[in-house]
Amino acid sequence: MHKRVLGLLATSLVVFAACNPSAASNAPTTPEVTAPPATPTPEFVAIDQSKYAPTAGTSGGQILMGDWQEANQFNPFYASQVTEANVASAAFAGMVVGTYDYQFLPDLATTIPTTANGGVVVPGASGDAMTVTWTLKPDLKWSDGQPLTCDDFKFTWQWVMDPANSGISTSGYEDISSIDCPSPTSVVQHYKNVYEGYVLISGVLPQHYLKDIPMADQVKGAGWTPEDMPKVPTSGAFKFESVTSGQELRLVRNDNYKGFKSNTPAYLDTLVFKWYGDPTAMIAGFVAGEVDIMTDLLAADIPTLKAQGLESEISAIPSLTYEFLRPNWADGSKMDATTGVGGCSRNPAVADRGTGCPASDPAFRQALTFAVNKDEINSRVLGGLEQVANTNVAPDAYYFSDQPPATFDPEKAKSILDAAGWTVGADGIRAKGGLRAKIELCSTTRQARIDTLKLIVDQLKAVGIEAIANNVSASDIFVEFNDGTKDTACGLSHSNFDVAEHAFGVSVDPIGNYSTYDSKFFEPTGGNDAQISDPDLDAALEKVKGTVDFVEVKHAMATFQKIYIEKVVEIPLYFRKEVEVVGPKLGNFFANPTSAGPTWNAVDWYVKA
Amino acid sequence: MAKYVVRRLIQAIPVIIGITIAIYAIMLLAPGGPQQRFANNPKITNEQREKFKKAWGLDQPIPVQYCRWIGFCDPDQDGIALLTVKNVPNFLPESLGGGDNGMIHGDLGFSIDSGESVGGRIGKAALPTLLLAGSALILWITLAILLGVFAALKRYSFFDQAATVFSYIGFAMPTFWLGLMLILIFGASLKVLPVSGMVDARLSPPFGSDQYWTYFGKSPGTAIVDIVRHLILPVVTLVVVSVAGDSRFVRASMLEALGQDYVRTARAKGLPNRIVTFRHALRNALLPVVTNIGLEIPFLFSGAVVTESIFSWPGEGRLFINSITNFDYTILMGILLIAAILTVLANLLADILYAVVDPRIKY
Amino acid sequence: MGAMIPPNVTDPDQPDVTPPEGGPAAADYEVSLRSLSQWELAWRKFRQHRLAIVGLGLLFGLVLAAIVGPIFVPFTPVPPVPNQLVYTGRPPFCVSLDEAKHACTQFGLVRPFGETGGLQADVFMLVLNGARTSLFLGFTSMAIGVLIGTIVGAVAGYVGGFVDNLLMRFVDVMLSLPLLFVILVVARFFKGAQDNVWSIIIVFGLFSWMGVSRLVRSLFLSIREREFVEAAKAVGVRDRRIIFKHILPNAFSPIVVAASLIVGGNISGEAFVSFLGFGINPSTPTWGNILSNALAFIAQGNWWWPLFPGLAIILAVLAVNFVGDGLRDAFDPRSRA
Repeated sequence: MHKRVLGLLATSLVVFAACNPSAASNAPTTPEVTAPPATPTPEFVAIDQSKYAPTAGTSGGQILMGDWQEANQFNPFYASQVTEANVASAAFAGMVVGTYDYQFLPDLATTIPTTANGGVVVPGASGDAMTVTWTLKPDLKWSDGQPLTCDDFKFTWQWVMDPANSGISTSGYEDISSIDCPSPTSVVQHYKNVYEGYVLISGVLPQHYLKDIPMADQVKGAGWTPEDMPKVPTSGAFKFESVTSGQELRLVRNDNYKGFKSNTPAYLDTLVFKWYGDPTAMIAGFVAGEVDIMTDLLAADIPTLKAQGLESEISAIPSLTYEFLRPNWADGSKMDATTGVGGCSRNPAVADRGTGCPASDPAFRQALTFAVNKDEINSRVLGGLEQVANTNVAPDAYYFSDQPPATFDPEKAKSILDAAGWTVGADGIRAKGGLRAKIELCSTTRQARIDTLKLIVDQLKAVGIEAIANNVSASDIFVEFNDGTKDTACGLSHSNFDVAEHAFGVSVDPIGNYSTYDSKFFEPTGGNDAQISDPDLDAALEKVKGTVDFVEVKHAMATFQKIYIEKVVEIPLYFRKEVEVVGPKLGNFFANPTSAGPTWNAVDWYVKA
Repeated sequence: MAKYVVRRLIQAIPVIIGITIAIYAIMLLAPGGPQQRFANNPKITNEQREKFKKAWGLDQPIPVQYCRWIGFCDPDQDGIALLTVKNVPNFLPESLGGGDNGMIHGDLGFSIDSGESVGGRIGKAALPTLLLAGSALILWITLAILLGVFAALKRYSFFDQAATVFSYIGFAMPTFWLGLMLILIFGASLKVLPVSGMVDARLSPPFGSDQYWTYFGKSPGTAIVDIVRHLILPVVTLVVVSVAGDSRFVRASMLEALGQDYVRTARAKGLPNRIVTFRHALRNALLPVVTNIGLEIPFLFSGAVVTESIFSWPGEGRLFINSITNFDYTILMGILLIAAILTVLANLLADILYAVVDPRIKY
Repeated sequence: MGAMIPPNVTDPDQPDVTPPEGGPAAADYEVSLRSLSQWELAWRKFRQHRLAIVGLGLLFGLVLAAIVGPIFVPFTPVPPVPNQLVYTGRPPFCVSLDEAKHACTQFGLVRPFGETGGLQADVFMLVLNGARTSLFLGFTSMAIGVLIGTIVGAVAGYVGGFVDNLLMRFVDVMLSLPLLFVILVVARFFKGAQDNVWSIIIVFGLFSWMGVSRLVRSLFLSIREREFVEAAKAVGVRDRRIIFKHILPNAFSPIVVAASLIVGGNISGEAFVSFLGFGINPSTPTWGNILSNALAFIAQGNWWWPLFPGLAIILAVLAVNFVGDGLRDAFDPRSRA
C-alpha cells in the first residue's frame, strides 16, 4: 500500500516533469524505500504551479489574427464556438487563468484558494458545506475606470442563476447558496455541497453596465451588439474598439489591467481578429502576409501548410477534444415507447437482425475494442497526423492515469465473441440467440468520419460483425430531445443508434464527466445518451464531485478510467490536434489546449522587431 | 398598359405575403435550428435549451411564429394573440396602442446570432454586394454583348466556335473551384493580389465604418485603389462563370434580329452594313437581352454566395450562407424577403418589356 | 418566331434546275418533288453543324461510359490498402512517390486519373462511377423541369387572363424559395433512405421549370395572336389540337436550348450544393461530390483529383449544349441548311 502511494507520487512527478521538458532534468528522484515508513508520505497534487515564464516584450504594435469562423457572441458566458472563446479570453479576465500546462494562475485574485492554504474550508463556517474565500488584488478597475469589486462577482452569480437567463451552463453556480462581500476585495462563496470545480466559478461581468438591461433583452443579445461593444467594460488585457460584422474585430489595450505575470498592461496597442470565409483562403491569406497568426485549423490542414512552406511556423498540440466511438449500452428492455429512450437503433436497415441490442452485451463491446484498428484509421484517413488515444483524459492533466494501450487483435476479438455465444453463421456473420450481429454506425457527414466508418465496417466484417454506416446531418444526430422523435435518423438523444462516432471536448477539470456517464442522467434529465449504467462508475463520479481534495479526485478518476476501459464506456480513437500557425512577428505565443485558447496570455504578446 | 402595371403592383402585395408564408414554413420545417449551437455540449441541460427557444419564440407552432413576424400577433402572449394585453388589435401602429413587432410596423426583428437589428445588418452588407455584383454585372454584360454580337456576325467561323467552347467551359466551371485556384495562384504563389476582404486591414479601417469614411475623405486615391485591388479576383470569378449564358443569349437574339425582313430591306436599300448591324439589328436584339438580365438582378442580391464566402467579401451572399449555417432565422427571413420583392418587381419589369418588344402581346 | 412550314417544300439540296436558253419544254425535265419530312430536314441541318456532331459524339461516349464503365471498373467504397501510404494521394501514372522531393520515382500504367487523398481511391474509378448518377440527375431533373414548365407556360400563355396571372404569380413564389432549405425539407420525406439521389433530383426539377414556363408563355402569348391561329380557331379546330399541333412545334427550338442549359446548370448545381454540404449522400459518388471533396487537398498540391471530375462536368455541359444548339438550328425554319 505504501509502495503504491510512492508509485503514485512518482507518477505525478513524472507527469509534471513531462509538462515542461526543460524541467525534466530537474525532477527530483524519489529514493527507493525498502521498509514501509511509520506514516505514509502525504501525496500532493498542485493546481497552481505553472511553469509559465514569458519573455519581456516591447511595447506597441499591432497583431492580426485570422480565423475562419466569425465570433458573434461577446458575452463570455454565451460563447459557444472556439473563436468566441478566443475573443473572450483576450478581453475578459477572471479570478484565475487556465495555463497552457493544465495549471491555474491567479489573475484578478491574489492567490488560488485551496484546502492547503485555508482558502477552502470544508465544512464551511456558517453551516454551509464548503466556503471558498477569494481575495482580489487591490484597486482593480474595469476598462472604463469603474472599480471592479466583490459586488461584480456577486452580481455575476445572480446573473447566471437568473431564471430568465437561458442557454448557459449553471453547473457550480447552482451549488452556491450565497456570496458575502465583507470588503470590496474579499469574495466569500458559500456552497450548499462540496463542489470539486470551484476554481472555475470565477468569472465576472460588469454590474454597472448590465444591471439596467432587462434579462429578457440580454438573452436576445441586447447590450452586446456590435454597436454596443465599444461601450462594454472589460476586465482583461484588451477592450473593444470596434466590431464590424463580416470583416473584423478590433481590440485595443486596456490600461486598467495588469498582466498576471508581467504586472503591466498589455504590450500590444491593437489586436485585430480578421474573419475569413474559408480555411484554404485563410491559409493563402497568411502566406500573402495579410495576418500574423492563424487559429482554428485542424491536423488535416498540416499537409497544406507544409505544401505552402509554413512548416516551421506550425504549432500543433493535442487538444482536449477527442474523437471516439460511443456504444449504446441499452438493451431495449426498458425502452420508452413514445420517446425511444432506452432502446437502440430503429433504422430499417438493421431491423432484420431480430429483437435486442448487440452493443448492450459487454463482451460484444469488448470485441469491438480489439476489432477496431486505430492505427489504420490514423494512417489512412488522417495521414498519421492525429494522436491515437487510449482514454478520454488528456495525457497532461493532473488526474491522468495511463491505461494499457488498446491493441488491434482480431483473433482476440473473435475468441471473445465465441466465448460469449456469438456463433458464426453461414454467411460469416455471427448471431446469438436469434439476434444477428448487425449494428448501425452513426456519424456526421464530415469526410474524415465517412472514411473512418468505411474502414470500421471492413474491420468489423473481418471478425464477423455486420455494420451499416449511416452518415447524417448534425441536426439529426445531435437533435435536441424536444425537437427529435424516436425515428430521427441516428438521434442520440432518443437512443436511435448502436454505435456513434463523434467528438467531445473534455474540460481540464474532471467534473465535466459527471452528467454524461452517471446513470441518473438519462434523457431528458441529462446527457447520458449512451445509457451508461454502472454502480462502480457512479460511485467514482460521486466521489469526484463531492471532494475538494485533489488527491482523492485523482484516485477516483483513476478508478473511473479503469472502468471506462474495462467495461467499454467509450472507445476513444484519437485526440484532435489544435493547430495554429504563428508568424515570425509574434512573440510570447504559448499554445493552450484548454478552453482558454491561444489568447490566454494575449497580455504578454508583443511584436518582435 | 398603365392599368395593367397598376393592377400588377397591387397584386404584388398578396403575392409577397404568400411568398413570405411559403418561405417561413419551409424554413421552420427544415430540421435544425439556432439551438444547434448547444448540440453536443453536455453542460447545457435540456431545460436551458428550452428556455433559449422560448426566449426567441421558437417553442410556438409555425403559424404563431409567422403571425408574430408579420406583426399581427402579440409576441408576449402564447398562441395566436391578435389583441395586445390592452385589447387593441396588434397590427395597429404603436401610437394607437398596437404592438411594435413585425413587418407591418417596419421591424424585421433581431439577429439570433449577434443581436443586431436585422434591417441594420442587412443594410451594412448591401453596399459591398452592390459594389461586387454591380461591377461584375457591368463587366459581364459588356463582354457578353461583345462576344455575342461578334459571334453572331461571324457565325460558324472559328471565332464563333472558339467563343462557344470557352463560354461553355466558363459556364460549367464551378465558381468555388475557380475562386480557390485564383486565390492560390495570385495570392499565395505570386502574391500580387489580396485574397480576402475589401480593404487592407493593416492600413485602413474596416469598410463601411465611420472611421473608414473619414479615412476615405482624407486619401480617396489610396482607398479606391485598395478596393479595386480587392475587387479584381472575385469579379473575375463571377464574370468568367456568367458570361457564357448571356453571350449565348445575345448571339441567338442577334441572329434572330439579323434574320428579320427589315434588315434585308435595309441592306437592299443600300445602307452600310455597319449601320444596319449596330443601329438597327443590335438595338432590337438587345431588348430581350435586357429583359433577361433584368430577371437575373434578384439573384445578384443573395447570389454570388460562394464567391463572397471564398473571398471573405462582407456582402449579402456571405451573410446568407452564415445565417443558413447558424440557422439565424430572422436574418434569413430579412434577406429572402428583400430577394422576393426584387424578384416580383423584376418579373413585372420583364413582362412590361415583353409587351414593349412585341406589340402583339396583349395583357 | 417561325411561320408554319408549308407542307411541300422543295429540297434545297436538289440541284438548281434552270431551263437553258431558248426555253425548254416543261416535259423535257423531270424534277423530283419528293418533299422531306420535318425530321429528315432537321437531321440534314443538324449534320452540317460541326459542333453539334462533336457534341453528339461526346454525349454518346459519356453515356456509354456511364452505363458500361462501372461493369469493368466497379465502385469500391473502401479502396484496398495501397502499396504506399501518401496522404495527399499519388499523381496519375505514378507507382511510387518521393514525398520529400514531390517527384514520382516510379511510373506505371496505373491510375490514369491519379489518386484521391485520404483513403487513396482511384479517381478514374470514381469519375466513371459518378457519371451514372450525375448524368441521370441532369437529364431526369431537366425532364421534370421541362415537362412542368411547358405545361404551365402553355396554359398560362394560351388561356391568358386570370389563369395566366395566377400561374405567373405562382412562378414568382417558386423563384423566391430558398433552394437549400427546400432540399432539407424534401429530404425528410425520403426518411430512412441513405441514398437521397431522388430527393435531390426532384428538388432540382422543381427549381428548373420556372424559366421554361416563362419562355413558353411568352411564345404562346405572341403566337396566339397570329393569323393562322385565328384562322384555325375560326375553322373550329379544338384548342388542344391548336396547342399541340400548331403552337408547340414552334416552341420546340427555344425549349431545346433552355433544356440543354438546364442539364448543364443542374450538373454544375449539384457540385455547388455538394460543396455547401447539402448534396447527395457521399456513399453514392457523383462528379459534384468528388469535386467538392477534392477542394481541401488542392492547396496540398493535388491538382488531378479536382481536375478530372471538373473536366467531366465541362465535357458533359459542352456536349449537351452543342447538341442543343444543333437541334435549335435544325428545327429553326429560318436557318439555312
